[in-house]
Amino acid sequence: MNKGYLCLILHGHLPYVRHPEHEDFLEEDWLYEAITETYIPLISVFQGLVNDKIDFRLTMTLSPTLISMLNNPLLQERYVKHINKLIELLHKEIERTAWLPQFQSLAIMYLNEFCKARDTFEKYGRNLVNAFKNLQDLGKLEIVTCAATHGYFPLMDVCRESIRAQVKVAVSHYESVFGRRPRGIWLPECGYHPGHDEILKECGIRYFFSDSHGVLHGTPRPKYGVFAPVYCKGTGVACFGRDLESSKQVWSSIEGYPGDYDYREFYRDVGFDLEFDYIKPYIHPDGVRINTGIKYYRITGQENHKEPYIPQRAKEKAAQHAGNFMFNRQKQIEYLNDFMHKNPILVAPYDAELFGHWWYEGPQWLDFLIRKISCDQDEIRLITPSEYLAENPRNQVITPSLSSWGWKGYSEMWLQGSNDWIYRHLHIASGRMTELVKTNSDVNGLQKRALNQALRELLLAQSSDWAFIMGTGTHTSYAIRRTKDHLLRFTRLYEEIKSNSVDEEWLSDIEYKDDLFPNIDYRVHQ
Amino acid sequence: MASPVKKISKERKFWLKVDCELIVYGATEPDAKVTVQDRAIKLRPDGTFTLRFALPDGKQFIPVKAVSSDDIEERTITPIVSRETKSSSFIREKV
Repeated sequence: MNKGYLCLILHGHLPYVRHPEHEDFLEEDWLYEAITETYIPLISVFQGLVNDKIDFRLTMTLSPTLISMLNNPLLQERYVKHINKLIELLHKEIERTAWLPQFQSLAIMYLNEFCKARDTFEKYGRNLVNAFKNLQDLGKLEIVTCAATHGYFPLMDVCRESIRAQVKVAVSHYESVFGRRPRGIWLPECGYHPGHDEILKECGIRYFFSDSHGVLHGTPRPKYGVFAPVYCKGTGVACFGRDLESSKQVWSSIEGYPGDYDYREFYRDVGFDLEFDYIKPYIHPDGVRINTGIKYYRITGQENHKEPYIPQRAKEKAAQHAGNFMFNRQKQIEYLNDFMHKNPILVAPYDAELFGHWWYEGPQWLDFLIRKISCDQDEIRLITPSEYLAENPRNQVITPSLSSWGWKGYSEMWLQGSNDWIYRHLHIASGRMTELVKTNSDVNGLQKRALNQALRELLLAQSSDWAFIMGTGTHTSYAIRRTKDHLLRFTRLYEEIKSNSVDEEWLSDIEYKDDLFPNIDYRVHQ
Repeated sequence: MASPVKKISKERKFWLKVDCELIVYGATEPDAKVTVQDRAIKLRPDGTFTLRFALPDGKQFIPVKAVSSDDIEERTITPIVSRETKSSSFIREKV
């Protein structure tokens, strides 16, 4: 008998990185790696479930920047070049490892995977959004939107016009891609600030997610904790709170499954391990070593010494961990069901890129979990937020509290010594954008193009990814450069628009470089 | 009082990694059929070939056999290569 629900959410997002001005650009690899290691393995898992007639429900964010990159012909072409190079390397690797059978079998495994990735990529016309759209149309996947460029809303509260623009651009972009309006939104970094639900309501969004404490510290306190959604007071937009227990089992670097010693070691990659002249054609042209995705070792233990990876052993562990996860959810649901007067919902969100990219066996684990839930028990039902709300329309009304996920849970990852300098510039730019919209409510031609581009530049500068990267201390120079580039482009546009002296040649150049959201309308920033 | 040297050694991140590869290369008539350890290999248009192997510890026999295109003549050359890895480590006391 069904006693409760599990709502699995995968948040798929990457910042917009596309550099047509360079033949080869290091940070574009983030997308290529995610395509091979996360998006295609997930599509294969979902397609396998459909083929085997396993009924499942999963919620997934595809952020507007990610969709824009997956849709982009230049990046599609570059991905094919990227995967072809890796396939060439794998042919060499199979020969090189002839006297090391454990490694050779892994090279063969990767060759098969990468060839399959290329075939899948081509099968969907080089646009993986089509694959996810098909799954949504089949009713298995619910794709929610996200802020246009993943702006972090709690730190944008001083200029709600920018929040409105982030949401409106995202919604119209979603509509143009999927042919319908999004029902839900993933607030970037789970960042919620009371009152932002008004903007969501205005844009037709019915629900969002918050971290546990966003709901638990709400006013009044929620009767069922995070095990039932709440409606925001005044707007009726539903808020689903994250379940800590199910999150920890997957996220935690200490107790979480991905750290198991039988799983693949992420940090040992042939891009770093092999002799320089041999690997040189497959790393960055400047000689900077990079991850190739070809990794021969398992985690093994805490020490530096690593043993070869054994796929079968890892697969068995993934099955075991899926069983353990399901068992724990059953116990959790049984316990909650005893004192709640309705079926509890466990909301379990994860970064999509954890699955496959960081945690190589993640897609297998997900596959085992969904199959076990479908075939081995009847207490838990997989559900999407929309289905839940349709079946359970009566929910408590509260005001959730300010919150985010990540370090300490209150914005600190995005506001600390290394990144706090960006906000005064972002806030001034937001104010200036509002001013431009007020003073140019109905313009055409070059001024309109410049205004639209100004909004693109502002949105790109607002990506939470830059502040996050500055906070982590890796790739910081790129994050700083992106923040400055977009802000400087915005400022020049602001000045040229105000003095009615837009430099068309320069405008065309930045339209070519920062080309996302082709149908953007600057007037949404108000 | 605990030794300061030992304390420092625990925090040190010094490391060394060494591996070996072997390059086998040669040349024959461009239309000859060549095998290395019984596996057929592809020659370049000028009849040369290069193979690169990760070399594990132990002895490797690498018979390279070339057969003329008319199947009349055959030549075999067998490099025998062995690798033995030893390692040691110590921490020098700071003066």
